Formats: sequence, structure tokens, C-alpha cells
Amino acid sequence: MPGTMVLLLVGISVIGGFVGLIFESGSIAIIDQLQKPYIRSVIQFTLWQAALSTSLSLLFAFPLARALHRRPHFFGRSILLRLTSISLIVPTMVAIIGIVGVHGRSGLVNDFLGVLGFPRQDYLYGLNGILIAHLFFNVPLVTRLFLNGLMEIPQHQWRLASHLGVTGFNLVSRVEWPVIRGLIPGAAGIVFLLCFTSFAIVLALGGGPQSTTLEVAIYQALRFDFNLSTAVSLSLIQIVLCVALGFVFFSSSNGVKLQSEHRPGFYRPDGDSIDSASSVPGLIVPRLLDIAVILIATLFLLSPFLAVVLKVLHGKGFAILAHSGFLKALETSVLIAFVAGTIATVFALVIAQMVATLRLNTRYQSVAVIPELVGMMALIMPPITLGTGLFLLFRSTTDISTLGPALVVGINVLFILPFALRILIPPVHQQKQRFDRLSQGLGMSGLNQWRWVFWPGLRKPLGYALAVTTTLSIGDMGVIALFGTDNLSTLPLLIYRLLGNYRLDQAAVVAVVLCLLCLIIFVIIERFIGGKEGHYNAKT
Amino acid sequence: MLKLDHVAYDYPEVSISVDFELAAGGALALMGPSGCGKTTTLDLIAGFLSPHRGDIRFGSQSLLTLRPDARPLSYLFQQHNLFPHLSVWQNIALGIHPGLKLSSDEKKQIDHSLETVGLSGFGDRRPDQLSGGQQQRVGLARGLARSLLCDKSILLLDEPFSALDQARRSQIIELINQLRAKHQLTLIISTHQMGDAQALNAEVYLF
Repeated sequence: MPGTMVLLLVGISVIGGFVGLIFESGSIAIIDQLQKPYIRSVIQFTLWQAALSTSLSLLFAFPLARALHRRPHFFGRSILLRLTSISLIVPTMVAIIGIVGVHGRSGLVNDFLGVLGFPRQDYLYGLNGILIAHLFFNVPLVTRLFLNGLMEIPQHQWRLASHLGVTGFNLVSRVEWPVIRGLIPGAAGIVFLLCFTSFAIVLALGGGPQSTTLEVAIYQALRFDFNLSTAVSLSLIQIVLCVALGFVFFSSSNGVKLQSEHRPGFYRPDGDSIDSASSVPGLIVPRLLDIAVILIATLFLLSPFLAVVLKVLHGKGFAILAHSGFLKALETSVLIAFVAGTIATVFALVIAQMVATLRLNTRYQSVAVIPELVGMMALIMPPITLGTGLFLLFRSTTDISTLGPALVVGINVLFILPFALRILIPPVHQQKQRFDRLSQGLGMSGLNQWRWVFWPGLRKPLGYALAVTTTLSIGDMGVIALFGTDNLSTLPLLIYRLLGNYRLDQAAVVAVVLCLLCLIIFVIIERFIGGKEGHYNAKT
Repeated sequence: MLKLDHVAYDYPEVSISVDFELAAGGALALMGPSGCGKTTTLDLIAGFLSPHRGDIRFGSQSLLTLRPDARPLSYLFQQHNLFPHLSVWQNIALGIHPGLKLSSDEKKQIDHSLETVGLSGFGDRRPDQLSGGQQQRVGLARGLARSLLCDKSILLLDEPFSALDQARRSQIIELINQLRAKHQLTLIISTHQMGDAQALNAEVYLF
């Protein structure tokens, strides 16, 4: 029963957003809208920047993944791998501040050019900036996917290649490419959709109407022009394209089935052996190239963080910490994140229990996937699009100042729910499978069953889910941009506003506070709820 | 002559030591219980492991400075001798030229090798369309082609008959004996079966 209610609530919210758009579109001729040069240029640019970002991400990630795979002992490897993890979770606005600090007019690159006697270059805003930021977030993602693929190539294939002298291009085409080719549709699909629906990056670094994507155009139409027909048209186009692209990419994704062995990569003919005792002297040029690739990637991913730290060390931005707007944004961020994180985790737990119950009942196994799909429904509608739809649905009945905070929390819940589901469904299923019949046989139910049977096994994944969802929510710069006001501001929105006012030093200080807040909240929640033994590994 | 001169390889729990000489064209069967070091010895000769002590020489040259593919040998592993995504023909051709750019003579030799191991007409098949025994024979065909075209005069076989029935085992042993006699191959085989060693006229090195 609670599961059904949660599913209804989630389903109605997402469908409500869609219905809001459809109702409003009744008076709009979408086909006519598509003829407008502005809308056509927005669609073209959205597709173009996403295609470029995806192609470049794949292009840069492959040599990087190869270099990491070939040099398991190189000291910079572990630093780079940590950086790839951090760049996946760092709040978008923090990374943007860092990228501005590196590539902006007064950034580190221009400082370096100045030392060499070159004039300062203004290359960041527009397509360049969007691409740099997208590469910052997506190269690590694709690199990790490709590296996992290379690690999965069975040891015997490397051994065979080594024995037969298959190296260089032949090694790529005969051994690596068959695996990487299988990963490309999925990786390209994820990156393309992320870039296609990219909002904060384009908003902050787009630099004008010529570099506007659908998400930002919807935001501008609603927030600045209050042009509902354009907002609704763009939203519907966005949904149709998202669903179509998602279908195309993921239907063409074919996972490669490999038999992984205990020590993959051991016999790689062109790399360092994992067992140093068995290493055969490698070629110098490939080794130097790999090291260069790893160092360049490290510099690219590390420099934004360094730039933020340098800006903070200037000491000019600390005044923001005493500003009432900062304190208010801090309070709102924490409040929204905790409320959204808690609701999403509870919803995910309820849905996970429903999924587990259905899976364990032979009559209903075939429909067990439905609750999970409903929980992930929001993924077909980008946050700004969903926010627009819900705003249109409720605007005649509710005042925007009341509606805003509720929509921010609600939409945050919908978008962090899939992450919580991915974390909670496997362990909840496992616990139910193990103990449900036993505890029922012992006459345990309700709170007692929870207290003595499920809680000990689920507290770690629950702590992890709550920590992840709260941290994701606190760094979010999506729907808050749409409904944010002077009274409703979060730290990411404050960073965006400071950046818009060219107060980069203050923005950097807020960015560091945001990072520290994410870290502290993550650790505290995970420890407090999950217990002392560290984070839960969903695979176990 | 192939000479393993007081070669030792240290695992955390156990040390493998081996010392023997084998004349060119000779045959040696490595025998002993599982885990005694038979495959380790073959891996040391092939260059997949480097000995912690000792030297491995073929003629006057130490093999330790050579990469696995530069050593004068063909290795038939216990299993997984083929790339699953390549055809039988490509798997053999890869052993001749990694870019698969072959002369017409080399192509003929591949066809001949397939014919020799009884797999004519199987060139277009993928490994998963073959039985375990057929896959072993493809590996042997590649070893043969490499011996003839790439001057790989040592043949290492790691329990090569474990996936074969008795009839096929006898057939393959007969084939190896013919190839050895014809091409002066030096053979080292790891096996649990004394009968295999006898059928191959091999000396026995007992661990």
C-alpha cells in the first residue's frame, strides 16, 4: 500500500509536468514554432554542442584509458583516477568557477600567456567554454567506462597478443577495439544526453543567444521573457528529442560479454606488467606518450581545483561569509538537501521493498520492473522542462512564492530518486530473500521485523543512499535557477549570481564552502546512519 | 640447444627451480602433480615470467632479453588459444603477421596448416562454432604455420590433449610426431600422462 501511494505520487508528478505542458500547448501551433529561426537555431546549437562534446569526450578518453591501462605502476595514475571520481560528483557550479579561474580572461592560462609576453585571450565564453566544461565532466566518465572495458579483456587475450607480437595499431584493432566498440553506443548515449540537457554549464559559460541550448532557452523564455508559448514549445521539443535520442542510443548498445580473470592486463604486450618481476623492457616512445597523456589529463582536471584554491588564498572573497545572503543561501541549501534527500531515500526504500516483494512472488515476477521504471520516470524530462510543466499546471491555483520551494524540493526528489533506487534495490531484495520467510515464521512483523531483521542489514545502504542523495541535492543548480528569488537562494545559485557580477573571489570562497559542506554532510550522514564500518558497497 | 641454467622463480609461498638441457629437435615432457611448476616453466621459456635467478639460453643467445613475441617459439596454451571475435583463418594469420597482410605463399601455408590438422573448410568459422578439440587443432595449425614461416623452431605445449578424446589424442600426437620429424621442431610438453610422453618419444623431466 505505501508502495502504491509513492508510485502514484511520483507518476502523477512527472505526468503532471507533461500534462501542464500539453494543456498550455493547446493554443500553440508547435509546427509553426519550429519554423521560427530562433527556435531552429537553438535546436541546431543544442544538437551541435552535444555532438561535439560527445565526440571529443570519446576521442580524448580512449588514449587516456589506454595510458592508464598500460601504466599500472605510474605514480600519477592513482592521482588521476581519484580526480576522475571527484569530477563525477563535484557540484557543477564549483567546477565552473574553477574553469573560469583557469581559462577566464584573468585566469591561470592568461596569466601564463602574459608571462610569456602574449596578449590576454578571451576564448572561454561561448562554444569553447561549454566544450571545456563538458570535457571536464565527461572525459573522466568515459575514461572510467573504457578503462573498465580494457580491464575486462581476459588475461589470455593479452597473453596471446603478447605471444604473437600483436602491438600498436594491430593491438588496438584486434584486441581493444572489439571491446571499446561495444561500449561506445552506451557511453556516447549517456554523454550526449547529459550534454543535450546541460543547463548550468551553458547558462554560466554560454555567453549569449548564439550559444543557447534548449534547457537554457526554456529558462530564459520563462524567467525573463515570460513567453509561455516559446517555453512550452521548447519543452515539448526537448522531451521528444530526449526520448528519441535515448531510444536510439540505448537500443544500439550491445554489451560485450567477456570472461574476466583474476589479473587482467598481466600480459599486455605494450605496457608495464603488474608483476614487476616479470616486466619486459617496454618501448620508450609509447611509455613517454602515455606519461604525457596522463600528465596532461591530470593538469586539465586538477587545474580548476587549484584555481579555486588560489582565488580563495587571495583573501579578497572572505567578506561574503558575513553577508546575510550567504547565510540564508547556506541555510536554504542544507534544508532543501536534507528534506529532498530524506524524502527520496524513504521513497526509494518503499519502492525497493515493493520490487523485492514482486520479484520473490512467482506470479508477479514479470511486473517487478514496473515500480523501478516509475521511480526513474523523471529521467525522460530534464528538470527545467519538468519544472516548467508543473509551474504551468499549478500557477492558476497557487502563488509562485509558495509554489517555488515546494517545486524545488519535489523536482529534486524526482531527480535523485533513481540514484537512491540503484543503491537500495539490490540489498533490500537480498534481505527480503534471506529473512522474510524466516521472520514471518517466527511471527515477526511491522516495527519488530524492521528493528531486528532488516535494519541491521540495511542501515549501511540506507546511510549511503541518504548521503548520496543529500549531497547531490545540495550541489544542484537546475530547477532552483527557475524558481530562485532573493528569499529562495541556494549556494550554487549564489555562486552563479556572484559569477554574473564578476565577483570571482567571493564565488570561489562559496564554492569551497559548498565542497566542504558536501564532504561533511556525506561523511556525517554515512557514519551516523550507516555505522562506523565505512561506506556500503552495493556489489556486496 | 635449449638450456635452462639453474632457473628459479619465487612465488610468495613456494619457489620453482628447474635445470635442464634439450638438444635441438629433441622432445621433453614436464611431469608432476598440479601446481608443481610445469606451466610456470613454460611461461618462463615463453617470456611471460622472468626468472628471479638463472638463465635461459637457446644456442648461444640468452632469451631473457627478448620480448615474448621475439622468442623463437610457438606456445599452445592449455585453453584460450584463439581470439573469440576473429575467424579461424584470421587467428592463424595473426600468428604470421599481426596486420594480417600476407603474401600468397603465406596464405597457401595457412590453408595447408588447416588441412594438416584436418580442418580444411573451417577457415571462416568463429572459435565458438568449434569443439574444444577443434580449437586445440587450430592452435596447433597456427603453431605449425609459425614454425614454418616465422622460424619458430621450439614448440611449447601446455597439457594440449586435455580436451581431446582418445582417438583424437592419438591422431594429434601422430601429427606432432610427423611435424617434428619433418621440420626438426624442439618440443616441450607439460602433461600428466606418461603415455603422452612415450608416444611423443620425449624425455621426462619430473618435478
